[in-house]
Amino acid sequence: MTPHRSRIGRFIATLFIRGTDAPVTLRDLEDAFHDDIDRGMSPAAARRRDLKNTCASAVSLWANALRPSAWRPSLTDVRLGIRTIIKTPGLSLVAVCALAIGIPVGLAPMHAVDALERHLPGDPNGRLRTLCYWRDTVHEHATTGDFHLWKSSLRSFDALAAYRLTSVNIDSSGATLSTSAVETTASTFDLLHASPMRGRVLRADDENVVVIGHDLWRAQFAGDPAIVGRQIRIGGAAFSIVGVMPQEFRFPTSHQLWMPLRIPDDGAGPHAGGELVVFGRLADGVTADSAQAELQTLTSSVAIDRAATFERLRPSVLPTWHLSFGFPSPGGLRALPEFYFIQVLMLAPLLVACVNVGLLILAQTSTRASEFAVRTALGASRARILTQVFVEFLVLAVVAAGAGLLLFDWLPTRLLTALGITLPYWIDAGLNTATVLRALVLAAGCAVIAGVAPVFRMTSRSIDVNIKRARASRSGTRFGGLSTALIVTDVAVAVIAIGVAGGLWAKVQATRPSESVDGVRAAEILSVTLNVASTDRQAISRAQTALIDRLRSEPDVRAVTYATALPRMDHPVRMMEVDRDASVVVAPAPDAFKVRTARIANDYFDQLKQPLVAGRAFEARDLQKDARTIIVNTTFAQRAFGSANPIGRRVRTTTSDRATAGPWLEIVGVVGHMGLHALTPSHDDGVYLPLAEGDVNPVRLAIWLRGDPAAFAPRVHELARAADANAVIAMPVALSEMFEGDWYFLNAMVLGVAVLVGVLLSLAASALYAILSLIVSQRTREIGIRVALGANRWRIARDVARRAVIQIAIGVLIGLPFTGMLSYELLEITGAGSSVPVALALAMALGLLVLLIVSLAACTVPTLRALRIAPVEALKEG
Amino acid sequence: MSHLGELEQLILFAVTALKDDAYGGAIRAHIEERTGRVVSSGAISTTLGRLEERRLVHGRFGAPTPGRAGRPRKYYSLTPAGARDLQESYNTIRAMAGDLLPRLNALTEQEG
Repeated sequence: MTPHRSRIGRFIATLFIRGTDAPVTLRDLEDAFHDDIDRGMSPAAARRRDLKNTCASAVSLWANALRPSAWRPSLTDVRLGIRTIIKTPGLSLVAVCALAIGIPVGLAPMHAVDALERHLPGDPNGRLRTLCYWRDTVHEHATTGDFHLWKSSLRSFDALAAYRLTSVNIDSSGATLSTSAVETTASTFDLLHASPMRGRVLRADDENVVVIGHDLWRAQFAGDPAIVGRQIRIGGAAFSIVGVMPQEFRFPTSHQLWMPLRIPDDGAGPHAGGELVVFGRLADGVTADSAQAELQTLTSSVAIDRAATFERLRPSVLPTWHLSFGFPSPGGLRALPEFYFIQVLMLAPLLVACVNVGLLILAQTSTRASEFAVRTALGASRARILTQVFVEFLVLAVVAAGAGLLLFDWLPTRLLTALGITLPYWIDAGLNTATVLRALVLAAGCAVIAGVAPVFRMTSRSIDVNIKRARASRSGTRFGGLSTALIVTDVAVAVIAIGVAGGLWAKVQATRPSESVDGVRAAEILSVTLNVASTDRQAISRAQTALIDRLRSEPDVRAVTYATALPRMDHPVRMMEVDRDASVVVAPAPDAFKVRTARIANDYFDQLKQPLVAGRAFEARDLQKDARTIIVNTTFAQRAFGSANPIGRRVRTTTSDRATAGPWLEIVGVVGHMGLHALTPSHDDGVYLPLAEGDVNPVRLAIWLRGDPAAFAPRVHELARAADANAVIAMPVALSEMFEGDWYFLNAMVLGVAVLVGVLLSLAASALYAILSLIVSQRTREIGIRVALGANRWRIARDVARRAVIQIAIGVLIGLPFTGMLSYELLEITGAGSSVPVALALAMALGLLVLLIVSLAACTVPTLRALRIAPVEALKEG
Repeated sequence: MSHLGELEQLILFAVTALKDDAYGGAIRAHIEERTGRVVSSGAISTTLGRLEERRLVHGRFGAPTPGRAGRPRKYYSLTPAGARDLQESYNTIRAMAGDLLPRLNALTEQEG
């Protein structure tokens, strides 16, 4: 009996020895084994040698296939790529459109970080650094005490500068303008190497002078050439304009007015006094790390008697991009794991686009099976064919990346302008080298996923198999499991995308401007921001009181109150924990709650006609320094205490890791839900803390009117100026039309998701149509035989469509649970509206209908065509 | 003339020696028999592929043999360019090694 090769050897050979050279190598392996037997070797020894030979052969074949010279592309490949694009314009257009949208979306997070985390103009080497504090994950500005201490003690910096933002009323030539301004030390201009276009910059000994920006000079002073020396009144005091800065200087963000900052040294020490933004230039030879070490040492030495204050407060020397943005980490966005999660999430649409384009390519390249088979038979290696296809598709992907980059360069600026968002002047949202390089890498990745992967599969067999399959290309299904997997994935992803988009869209629809917000008559209430250009608490308090008194004396005003956030506005989120020492058993609830907070005037609920459900409103005694009281909303009371009475119970603020906590606060009242942001989720927990006049600047005023709130806005400006020359009114808007960050974020998300869903759905539909119609057209011969044998035509059509319907049904069944989970999460975050489930169901039904119609059309059209062909003709096609 | 690696030289010598019977298995057996070196069938196959790409050998499929799943052998023959390159390589080695052999032998014996 002839001995046989070992099963393991044959298994390894089948698995790893593939491609065009496989048959010859497999034959050589068999010959080698039988030669050994013929030479008298024992079967066991021959098998051992055969196994060794097989493994070494597999390694040699793969090493040969992967050698760089095998993949060297040529100009001919590029020419072929261009020819393919021209020859298949429909496919090329779909692929370019899909990738041209997917690539910018994938690039967006990293590009945004590049744009945000960059050095200021005039500081190419990043020698300017800001000095501030970090309390856990929260950025805190420095203070006047810090500035004087650091200026006199730190040797790591050549020079330090400080500024703070304010709002002012400018009176010039009888007109009044409210604008934001910067109170700054003269050193700011020196550090930024900023020169004026007229006059001079600020000097250290300046008083009652201002430097204005180019835009303000043109708009407010008509570009007066004799502007230097002109007198204006700011907050009632006389100021002289000493200089005009060029158009490109708008430090720190988009400011147009700079005033001298006077901060006498009162020896307050570290982290004491009013807030300031401090930055400086590192001295020659000093690194950021050594400056950080010096700052840390200095703070430790001078704050030795205030250890409790500095327990979790860390002084930091950071890049200047921390000046304008509240990054949640000293290392910026790149240091956050969440950033990379978002980056991956944003790359997902590109991956889906690639898979869909890959489906289209698979359908298209299947028609080139004969070409590949013949070229292989003529001696072209698999690597050569893959290289050519890669280059062909790379040409397509690079065209798409170019289109995407143009879109990327054009869209952000216009989008921000349309949304009324002004970026800091030093941010350039346009293209940069890094983004272009990343786009090229993504294009190469797309070429591999969408172009090479399908052809890799098609050329994975030996020459004879490829030729046989190419000859049978019109008479049998060759996609098998791969096409089913792709179609099912496609449908599942489309279902998820449609579901999420539908849910978000419905949520936005449910949060349009509304007449009332949880009982507050929002359409009748005017919200304004009152800022008093002063750091003196008494002066701020006087100005706030004076304006409120004047407003209350107006006949059209029903009520006036103030708070840090009014109904519909974004109330800041804090963590809060409940006192567990109480004897009453509380409801099962987490130890720490995420609550939305606001500080409110004592008469807040009374003025807004919101009676308390239990307990009392704030009173004068709650404003005492040692008073520790709080009012909670019904949602929080229910979650934290269940049916127990919350009055008298204690809560306190804490950090997310619960390492530190504020003092215990006694609950004195419970109030109904009042809308803690524009999305009005009825399940948000909320708490209110007392706020005295002058405690917060700026503050939000709620003015309840008898008439149209918008018509009363000019009168508020007049009253503010009459009450105090330093009082500036900003952002007058009816509460019913008040939208803040959460709402805008949701809108932007809906817009982005809608565009993506549109693209995904179009791609899914095109890919489904292409692949299904190809599969069905390959069954022409089978259909011809069945018709010739007398099969019922409708039954044949039904059989063909059944496969597509089953594939779609599997996709839907896989996609639906994910849709449910994602929609639930999103609706949990954004708050569920009653109309959401209906709109979600409608969106899902619409999307699925589109996919079903496309799939049935893809099956029906070629089936009907095949049925119309005479059986003899159909058999000839095979 | 193109540079030939050591394995390429061995294979070209084997193809020359085997004449019309030069297929992968026979080449492998010939090299092992004459030099004692065991070369994998995959290495022989890929090297022959490269030599064929460089037009130093010419390959043709033989008739399918029963009992080997119908897989054909691929037979190779030396092209004039292959013969020239092999000759050049051989001459180069001979020119370098010619009168050094006694010395090499002496050194090897010393080590032994």
